[in-house]
Amino acid sequence: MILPYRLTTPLKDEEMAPLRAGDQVLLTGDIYTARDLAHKRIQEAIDRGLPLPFPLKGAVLFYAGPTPKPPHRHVGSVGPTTSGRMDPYAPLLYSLGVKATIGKGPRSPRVKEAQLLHQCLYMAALGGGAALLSLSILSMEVVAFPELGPEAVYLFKVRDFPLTVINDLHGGDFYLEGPARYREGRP
Amino acid sequence: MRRLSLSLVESQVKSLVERCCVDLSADLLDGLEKRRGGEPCPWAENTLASLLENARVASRERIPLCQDTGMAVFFVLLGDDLLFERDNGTKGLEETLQRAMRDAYRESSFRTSMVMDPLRRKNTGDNSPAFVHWEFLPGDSLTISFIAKGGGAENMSRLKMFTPACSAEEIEAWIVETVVQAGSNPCPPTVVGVGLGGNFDTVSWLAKRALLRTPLEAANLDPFYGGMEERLLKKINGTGIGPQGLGGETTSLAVHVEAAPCHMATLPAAVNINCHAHRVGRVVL
Repeated sequence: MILPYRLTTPLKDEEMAPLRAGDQVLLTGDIYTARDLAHKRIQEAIDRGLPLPFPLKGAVLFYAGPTPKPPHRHVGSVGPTTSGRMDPYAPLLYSLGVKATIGKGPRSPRVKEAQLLHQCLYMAALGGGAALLSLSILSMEVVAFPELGPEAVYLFKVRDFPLTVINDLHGGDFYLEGPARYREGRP
Repeated sequence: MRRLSLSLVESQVKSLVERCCVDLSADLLDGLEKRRGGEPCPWAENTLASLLENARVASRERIPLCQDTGMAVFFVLLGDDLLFERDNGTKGLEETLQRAMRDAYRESSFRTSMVMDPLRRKNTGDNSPAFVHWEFLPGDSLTISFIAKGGGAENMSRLKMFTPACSAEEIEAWIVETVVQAGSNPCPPTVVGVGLGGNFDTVSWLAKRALLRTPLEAANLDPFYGGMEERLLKKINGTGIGPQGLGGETTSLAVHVEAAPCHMATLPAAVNINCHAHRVGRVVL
């Protein structure tokens, strides 16, 4: 059993560099959710030169829309949504300082190029594992666009949030390497 | 004629919706457990173990298995000899289903994922409307099936109008290609619903209805299609996509094919994929 890496936000380049596609990571710190409509709003704010809802520099973005907080718990369920839908926005956000994104599903070649150029990580959280993932979330609060409901930007404080590195800083892609390694019989 | 209370229907449907989004059904748990035991890829085995753990946490904490509590879809089998007592203040069965769904989502703090309009995209705030499909049959029974259908898996759907010259092999290859193209996006291990025949509109309905079949491992009663399901599952689980698309054998848990008569010039085919959080259930009243 290979031990997972531990990362804490804000992420530092020297801590991200040793990671390789397929590595397990436990992330502690602050992550911001943003999905389809929040991305559209952020893009509009950037285009018009308006202030941004949270600092993009050094940010970790989680492509997700949580369930509301139920009365009997401190947070609802939350897991990743399909990252590919955010591909049109990602290169600009990387260029403005976003250091890592969390979601599920592969990224486009253009996004992967931008990740390498700006040295950004892409990690997957357990898709459909929202109940389990919620155990690693300490708190949630809306920080922007509350009118979007589940598509608002939430700040999550997380402790040991479990992730798999998909795209590392060296061009590795575990959505290609994982299935290939299995097929070639070298798990 | 048999009289049936809409209040009873409403309370039964509401608890069906609540249960489906929180408790993974026994056949799904069995399917995941069996696959975990036989999974040759170690990290895939770990992923399947995490999915089983997720189901345990959801059940224990009474929270949704997945944050995407889906679009609400009902399939209603309505006996002709039923008479509904409007004792819940609604105008009838459709409104009863809609209200039961809305109440379940609000009271259980499920996510509301529906937007009012495809281009203007304002959240309706109560997950309405539910999609309701009606089928009528003789007799006095009412069967209501529910599926909480996530958007990520729904986006991987495909429909193709084949022509009668196409062989079963070509269609099977297209179905497998659909699953391969979907890759990690629909949260594998998936359940694959396939519709064959009908027309342009009913073939996608067939594909979605195929997802309702329980138990999960049940084969099509027609051995021709039962054999096709078995072949498709074997091919799909030979692609190496694996749980979460990270590699492994378990790409799908089941393939369900439903066929229907079609025009002599046509051969419609549709694929509707569901994620491992396969939230399907029914009540019979």
